Amino acid sequence: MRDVIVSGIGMTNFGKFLSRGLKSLSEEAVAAALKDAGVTTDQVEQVIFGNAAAGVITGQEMIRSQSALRNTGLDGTPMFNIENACASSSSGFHLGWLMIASGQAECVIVVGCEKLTHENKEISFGAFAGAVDVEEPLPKGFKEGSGSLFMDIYALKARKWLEDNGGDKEDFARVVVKSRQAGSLNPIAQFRNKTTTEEVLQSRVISDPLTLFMCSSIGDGAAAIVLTSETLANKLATPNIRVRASAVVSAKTCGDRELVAVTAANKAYEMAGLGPKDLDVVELHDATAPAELFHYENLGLCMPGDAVALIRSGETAVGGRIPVNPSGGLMSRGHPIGATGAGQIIELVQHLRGTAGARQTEGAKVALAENNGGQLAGDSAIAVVTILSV
Amino acid sequence: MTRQVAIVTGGARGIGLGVTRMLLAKGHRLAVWDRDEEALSALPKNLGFNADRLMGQLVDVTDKDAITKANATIAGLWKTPDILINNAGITRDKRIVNMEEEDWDIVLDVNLKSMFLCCKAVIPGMVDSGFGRIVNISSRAWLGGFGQVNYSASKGGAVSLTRTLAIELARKGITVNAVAPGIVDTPLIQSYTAEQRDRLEKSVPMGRIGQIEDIAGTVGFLSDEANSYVTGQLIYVCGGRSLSSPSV
Repeated sequence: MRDVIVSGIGMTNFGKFLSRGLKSLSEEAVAAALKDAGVTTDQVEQVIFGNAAAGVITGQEMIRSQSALRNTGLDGTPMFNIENACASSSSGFHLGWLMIASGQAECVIVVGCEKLTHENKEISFGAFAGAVDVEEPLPKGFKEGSGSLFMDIYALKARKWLEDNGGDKEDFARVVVKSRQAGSLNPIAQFRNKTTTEEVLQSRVISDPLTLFMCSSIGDGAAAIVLTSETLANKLATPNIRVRASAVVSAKTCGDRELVAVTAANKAYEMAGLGPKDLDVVELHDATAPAELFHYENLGLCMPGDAVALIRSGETAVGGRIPVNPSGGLMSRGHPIGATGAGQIIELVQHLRGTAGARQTEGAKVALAENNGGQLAGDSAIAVVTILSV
Repeated sequence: MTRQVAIVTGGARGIGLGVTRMLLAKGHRLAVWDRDEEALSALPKNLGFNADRLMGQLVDVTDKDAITKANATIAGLWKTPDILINNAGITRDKRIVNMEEEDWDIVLDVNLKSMFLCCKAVIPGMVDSGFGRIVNISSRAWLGGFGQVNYSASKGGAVSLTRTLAIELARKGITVNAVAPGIVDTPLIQSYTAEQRDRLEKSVPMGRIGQIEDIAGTVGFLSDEANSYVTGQLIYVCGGRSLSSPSV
């Protein structure tokens, strides 16, 4: 297997852009990534397009990339449409990595693009109903709170977690305060206003114990990444950021099992020959505030039971010992689901390049992204862990 | 690079339709602004295979709000426009003794004010992207035409607007040029008798009436990315008719 390099990154602002479509969003991200890498569309051999909900939101159930990218100059290039719920573009990144690592391609572009806003909010929220096994009864917890499927699922997990781990709602609020602080430093973030624990706790209850501020929001956006072989990368101007590991794990539905995030993280650590202590900066899947705390443990950033202590220590804030979600994460940078995984990786590449501005993790050399998708058999249906290094 | 996005005002019929066809053939994406709903809905049939790069928008080019809205729709679905062809125009020919104030106002509004409004809408996006091509359809008649004080004035205004805008935008990567068609084979001319047509042809040094493709070809040149050093110019496309006094 060959080394694979991230040579170009480009993304749109994340936010609610009711008037924008998949073309407008993905064209902007693709043009920016190609420009950043200094490659032309002729050099791109394969296109991988991650999107989850276009079928529901716009009706574009099939040929999503061929339609969205038809005017980018990439038309005529092999294109693959990847749907893996909220982990669509990190899964796409994995496939692009495989193509180059295996020697079958020199240059691949991975695009994550999502358009979730719709004039009818029920259609936006309804998209998530397809991220579970629709032939099975709805997961336990649904309709106990908001009617928002995933927030109810997270709320149920959060209640159980509070029982098992101690801590209280204020710890969830602390995660949000940290997230918004980071978002305030990120010009592309959907939410850029700082907040306080009081404000978080006083915001509307979505599904107890989750309040509005503790939940990621509906959003639109696109993110694109140019992956190259080392041979090609050495001819380009951008610094070589290496893909050290990419692990995709789907949920087991019975028998002995651990959480997909745990399995994916362990696989990635083994592949990279690195461990949690080697990480300088992390982007993880904080679809809700409690999820960030769960993942502290899943990724080994702290010992089981120590997540509360870790958030309280401030070590995971921007400028801390191990910044987590310096982009603002899903809660503040935003969560246009099919674009989220690529967006996480782009944030990390900026830290490794030393171009993350006010959010910069000084001297960052190793970075990890963790992205989840869907819900199956009491766990995320998919977890993807990517490790990058200078 | 990402394929360009163009707007053609009055692009559903006549010279405008010819320009629309030409820009689509070059691979651009087209938004056609027209107030003729019937002509807009006939576009897909007229343009065949290329019509799926086409957005027909019912826009009155004298209506600032409609322009703003249509422009935002284009930016949302595609990107901010790169090319603007200000083509929409009407005539209300009368000798001045018979010409009413309304005849003056509507011709100036549709032919000239529309250029101001459409330019104003698209220029910020062009400035942001550092690229733009604006082509204004003037007319040979700006030199003078019997019974056309309103029309001539509007088309002369288009020339002045073109020159001034070209100066203002010269350092922004945006060129602004104008085309002055002479007699063109549009439905109006086609309705003439053989004798009338013959007389018109004789008034043109090249001895023939211009075809829509003649105009579209020049617009195509001026709106092309490769045409990067021509700005503020007026090009006559009239078979030489601007060179001598017309006999009709």
